[in-house]
Amino acid sequence: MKLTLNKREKVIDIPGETPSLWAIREELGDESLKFGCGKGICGACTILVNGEPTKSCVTRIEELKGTEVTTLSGLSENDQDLTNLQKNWMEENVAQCGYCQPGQILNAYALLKSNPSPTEQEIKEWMYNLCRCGTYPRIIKAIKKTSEENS
Amino acid sequence: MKNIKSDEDKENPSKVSRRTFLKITAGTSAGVTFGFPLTSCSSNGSNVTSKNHNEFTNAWIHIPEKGFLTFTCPRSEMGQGISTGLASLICEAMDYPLNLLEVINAPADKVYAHKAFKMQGTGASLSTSTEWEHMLKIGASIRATLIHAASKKLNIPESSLRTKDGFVLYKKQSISYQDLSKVAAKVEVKSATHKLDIKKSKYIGKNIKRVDNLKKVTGKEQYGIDGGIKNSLSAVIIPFPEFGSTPLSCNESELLKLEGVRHVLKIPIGFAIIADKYWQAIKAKESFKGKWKRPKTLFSTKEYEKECKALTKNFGGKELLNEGSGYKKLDHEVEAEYSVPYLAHATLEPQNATVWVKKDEAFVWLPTQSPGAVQPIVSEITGIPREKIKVESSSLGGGFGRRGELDALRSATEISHKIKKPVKLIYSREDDMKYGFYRPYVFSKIKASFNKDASDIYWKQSIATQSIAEELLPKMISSMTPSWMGSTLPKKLGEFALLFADSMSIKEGALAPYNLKGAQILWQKTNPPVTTQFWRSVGHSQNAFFVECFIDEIAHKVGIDPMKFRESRLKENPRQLNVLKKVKKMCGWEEKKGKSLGLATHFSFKSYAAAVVEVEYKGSLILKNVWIALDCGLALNPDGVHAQLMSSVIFGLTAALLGKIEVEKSTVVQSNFDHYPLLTMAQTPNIYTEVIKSIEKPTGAGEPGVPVIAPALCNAIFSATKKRIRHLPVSDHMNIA
Repeated sequence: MKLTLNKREKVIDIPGETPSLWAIREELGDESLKFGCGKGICGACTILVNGEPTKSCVTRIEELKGTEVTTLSGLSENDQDLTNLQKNWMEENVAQCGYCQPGQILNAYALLKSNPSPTEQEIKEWMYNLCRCGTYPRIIKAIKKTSEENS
Repeated sequence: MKNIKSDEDKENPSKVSRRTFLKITAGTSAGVTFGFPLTSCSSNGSNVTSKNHNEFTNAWIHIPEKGFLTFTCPRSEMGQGISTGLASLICEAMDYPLNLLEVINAPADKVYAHKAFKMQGTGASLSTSTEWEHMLKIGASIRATLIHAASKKLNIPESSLRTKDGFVLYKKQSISYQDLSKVAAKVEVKSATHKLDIKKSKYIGKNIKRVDNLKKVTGKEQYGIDGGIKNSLSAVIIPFPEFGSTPLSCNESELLKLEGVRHVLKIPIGFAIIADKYWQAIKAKESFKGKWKRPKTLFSTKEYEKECKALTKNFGGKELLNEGSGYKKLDHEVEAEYSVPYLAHATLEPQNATVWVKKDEAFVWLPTQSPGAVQPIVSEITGIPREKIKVESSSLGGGFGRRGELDALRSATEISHKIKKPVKLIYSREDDMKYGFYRPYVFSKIKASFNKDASDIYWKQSIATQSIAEELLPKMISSMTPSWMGSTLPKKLGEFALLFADSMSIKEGALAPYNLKGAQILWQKTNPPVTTQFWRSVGHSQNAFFVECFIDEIAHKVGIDPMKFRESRLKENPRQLNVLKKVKKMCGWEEKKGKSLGLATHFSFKSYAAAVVEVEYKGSLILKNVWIALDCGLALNPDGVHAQLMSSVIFGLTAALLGKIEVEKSTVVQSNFDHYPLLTMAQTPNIYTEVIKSIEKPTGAGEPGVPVIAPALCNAIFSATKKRIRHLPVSDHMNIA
């Protein structure tokens, strides 16, 4: 089957039921999406499928056939061309251990695409990703800052 | 990107190590490599050497002829920001731009041993306080050496040279550190010190950007589950279903028929399935059927809780503390029972290890807080000499004490030792949670007697719990002792050390700081089969809860405002009083008259913390605000300390509100985040943090914010509802919004 990963077309030939988390990590070599719970709870494995935040650990690879998949490693072309969201993430020193951050950033990116000026309440309702280090307050700051800059 | 290149067919070890083990490739070097006359910079027995005489390299700093300088960070980065902190000290003293410094994780090597632990490890909030002066010395010495090199190169006296942002300057000439690399590699290494002047400093005492920000926002940071040894097979484990059970047999032949499955092995902790790919291994695990030798008696936390309660009934036990004039009965007396449950660390990155055991050498890629213990363990299992085991540390997807344990390493080593192929073992979330090492369950019975205004207080307490040290010390001592000692003697040494350290994590922070007239604290030692490990803030995590809630009970009993009660009793302790006053102001305690507010203060890891929590109860508990202040001496990077406080509040709330590991029939009940929930963003209250400005020596910052949270929360719940919660978690007693 074919899919587009970070704007590049990929062919993948493994059982369709394989969780896309592992298919992308092991077969397509992109390890920026993380394994946290395997049950779609923590959101560390979040990717964007046609722009929609999707928990890849509970999404079969066959469901991604023909879709456009974005992972954190493909959110910006290169380090000199970061999105405003990534820049603000750095500005606010959001990440601690950083393991949940790929999912957090992609989910926040999708939020701002669908709602460019979210209220704090809307941010809290949207962001399902768990963070064990407790970076939530700074995540909210980085999202708000990006939203203000974009408007 | 880091990838330990494997080349299975050719079995060529040098090819394997070259790229990632750049720093530990063999070779001799003249003078420069370990020239620093500094403690823990000695070259004795170290693997860390330079092979390129044209580049300045030592164990800490590498100056290439071109490109960024590299700093090898001796402590494990698990989110606490230590790589940023230590790098900023180096840059401050070396006079080099922090944003142009590449920071890498140290491999396992004696040269990186922790000064307090005597082995390479990270914990106890000690990294900054034990390393900061050392890092300044290293930075200053390198700067002095570069000036010395420039003086030789330009034939100008050192006194007419100065440095600026990575350059040595002479009049209008400037020469970069990189351009001096070649000369610096051949001159005598100078020893120098750096006098820190906060007013003039570039980084120290300033809010700085984390050095790992870019990697972490672009998905390039490598954790244990990423990278590692190329072409590794993937392994899953099926750990013992009960504490004390051992593996007998399984449906091996059936499993071997499944796609990609290469090996099915019995290992000490259970079974392992090894496949080409991880997705094949997890798929095969679904078909696993095993037989186990089951333990004769089954353990349950419900029964154990009753046992602990009975043990403390008459305030018995071994005396841990006896301060002042013991216990005396005065006019008033209160008595209460408290308990805290077993807790999992639940690092978001599940435990994992990548190991390649070859004929006479081994390679390890691991996220660990204990690099120093890796070689001894791998050597013990495989018989390969410690110095032939190369260990590289990945970044850690959370630590909190869990990654001091090396269970995944042991299993991965057993597997690779049997099949002689590189193997990456990743626990499932369920394995991580059920086959874990926990903060112990602790039961505590306390009584206090006092006069009318509680100006005189006597305290008596009996604590029933197990010893973490008993499990840990023998393992630690084995890692600290040289290999010729073998394993028996270190174990004996460990047992000996236990005589002194057994109760370490039970009594730390157990004594209330309020000028008690007398206090006696006793320990009923228990011996349940549940394995334990240090958990962020260790003994303080329960003791602050017991002390600060019970003191609150006394304050309410005598009708004194809990804030005033503590203030008046901390007069001889100005730093703790100061954080208390700070938090009092932050939360507006006086204006609100303490309504729906709960307070706690605690001294741990040589730092002073105070917190106030505000709640509301409307059929369920709503968290409103948390204010927290910390005095950790000089905050090298105040923004980093603020981040740790925020983190501590959320970590503390998660535990106090929701955290509980239960055991039934010797099996851990909780297995994933659905039953062991973490606080979500939506549940997180407003958090206000303050870091006290201080020029005292820096002390702990990663842990001391945690202990105050549970008692401040439960005191707030009492203030709002008159319900006193003495047994955590809060979710056992009320709904949480």
